[in-house]
Amino acid sequence: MSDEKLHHTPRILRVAAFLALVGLGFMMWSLVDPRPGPVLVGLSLGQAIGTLSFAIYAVVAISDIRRRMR
Amino acid sequence: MTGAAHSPLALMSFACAAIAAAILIGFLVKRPMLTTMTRVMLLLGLGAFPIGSAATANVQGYEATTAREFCGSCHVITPYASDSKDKNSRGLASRHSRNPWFGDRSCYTCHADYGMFGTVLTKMGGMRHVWLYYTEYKDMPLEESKQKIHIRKPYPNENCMQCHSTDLQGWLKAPDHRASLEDVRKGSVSCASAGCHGYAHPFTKKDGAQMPAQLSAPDAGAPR
Repeated sequence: MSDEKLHHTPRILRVAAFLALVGLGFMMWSLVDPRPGPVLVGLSLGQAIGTLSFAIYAVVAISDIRRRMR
Repeated sequence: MTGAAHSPLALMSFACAAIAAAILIGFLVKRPMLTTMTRVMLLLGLGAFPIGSAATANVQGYEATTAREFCGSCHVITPYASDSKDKNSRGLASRHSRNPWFGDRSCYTCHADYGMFGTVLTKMGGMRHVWLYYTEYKDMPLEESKQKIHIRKPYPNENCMQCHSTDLQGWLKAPDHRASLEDVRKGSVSCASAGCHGYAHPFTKKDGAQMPAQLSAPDAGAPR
């Protein structure tokens, strides 16, 4: 793995970590304040952001594995 | 924080989220190299624990949407929810809410679609209500909303028949029931109409004071 890629990968994962924290925040908001607005945001936007963050991790992990296998 | 936030599911969701947050904040602050251990921790922090938190939050969120308090939190529905929990109201909604089987979930129990896809259809309809509320009715005065907001399609007798099967002798003993049996089953005569058991939410009707005499019987809301 080149130095450039070594730096690049954690930056993407830091974005993913930040997104996951935002998504978790929305979901926790819906639990603490179960009114239509928060529940709608928590169970749709919150989960979409969380799914995106995990998708970023999955893409990074898969590309990392493929690179190692070459 | 509401009572729902103290349920075991909510606490499980909080716990998963807290563990995930601790892992992710540690990752963001320390900025470690991408070692195998870091990858495993990220798998837990971005995958396992958030998924656990989301799954339990989903179930808890679904439970929250079945509560009358949830429906009544939109100001245009507040009078319906208040009337339903009013122990002195003689409306059908209130009479049924006094039945513990309906209880604090009386809106959902009566208005849910039944059948194989009933839950999904009900939730889709609920999403539509939330959307309409935020786009059209959020700033509507209460008195205006009582006149303008109506149920989207006539309330189906099938929902009443989930409990009142129309098959039992006690139900068939009533002459009006016998006379209108087919119409009731077909849905061409509504159980919740002025001529039968009265409106579910009579305060929204101009002739809301008209309540059939048989509703004063203590067991009029009991399943038969």
